Amino acid sequence: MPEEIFIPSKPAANASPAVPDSEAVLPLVNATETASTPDATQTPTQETTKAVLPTPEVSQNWLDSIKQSSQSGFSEPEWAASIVHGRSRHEPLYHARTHNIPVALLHFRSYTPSLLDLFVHFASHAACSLGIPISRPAKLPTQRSLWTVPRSPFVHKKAQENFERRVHKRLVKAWDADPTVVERWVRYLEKNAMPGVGMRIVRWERAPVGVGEKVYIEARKGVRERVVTDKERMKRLGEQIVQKELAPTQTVATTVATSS
Amino acid sequence: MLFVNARVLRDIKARKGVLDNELLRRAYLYVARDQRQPPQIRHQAQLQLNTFGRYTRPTTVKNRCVETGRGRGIMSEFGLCRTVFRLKARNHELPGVHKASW
Repeated sequence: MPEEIFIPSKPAANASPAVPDSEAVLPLVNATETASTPDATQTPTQETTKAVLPTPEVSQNWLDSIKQSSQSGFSEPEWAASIVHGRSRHEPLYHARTHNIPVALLHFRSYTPSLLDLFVHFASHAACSLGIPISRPAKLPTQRSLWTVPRSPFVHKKAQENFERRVHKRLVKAWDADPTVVERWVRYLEKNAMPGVGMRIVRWERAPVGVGEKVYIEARKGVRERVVTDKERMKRLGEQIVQKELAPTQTVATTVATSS
Repeated sequence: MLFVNARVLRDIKARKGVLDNELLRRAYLYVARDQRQPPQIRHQAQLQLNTFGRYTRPTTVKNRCVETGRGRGIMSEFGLCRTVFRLKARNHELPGVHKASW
């Protein structure tokens, strides 16, 4: 196996946004996803196998844009070709942000920091392959719950034992990528989710001006016209009780008092 | 699987009763605490509230250990009493829980 590392010359300083064509290929995918529209995943019978490494069928515009946007001057295939022992041994290539527009926020939580770091590493490599500029993983403060419990089933309070549970958290932020690319990344991570690691994703999308009204109209279609809350129900019942049970007893009492 | 005990059965009965009667109890309480109502009506509402049986009152509900039915020393996050919690934690049966050391 050759030991030489391929170092290409740095490209021009013009950075173009990392917007891929719709025919983008996912290099690390298992052999069940196609490269066409997102709806294709609903029909598993017609999938074709895809190569693990990026093939020449990938659109050249997208590759060029990644090359120009990367900080180190490499494109992702070039950087990948320079790896000798495999991606698990190296940090991913962090693409440069072109427009600084946040697109997604990934929260990861786990009881085991090693599993967590492994999955975050996996997610970062997937983002690198798709050309999504991401941040380095940020370590949010660890939550620690402590329980102190007497050892004996009966008395002996002075002999106790401490148990704890630590929740480790990581945060990865993504910028600039096209919504279809982010969707692909997210679905890939959900499909290859690691047991023991929880993931929460916040996404932002750019919408045209005037979208608010359309969203409101759509939302109103799904809402019942008059929703009765529990508090309202309680108050109504209270009023009924007063009218039917309690007030009649009072009027009877007053008439009896006046007559006698 | 839930441990079944006479006390556990009583607790289940209480929980069901509370669920069924919660709205009614709240309505009576609302009337009894309503400043706008005349005092006689408020007093009547409070008396009505006192007539409810023990299996409708939320104070009767008590967390019990799911494994042993013990009423004291319960940890709400696991639904277990302290001894069972300790046994399970030591056997690594509770996810993420381990002996603390710092």
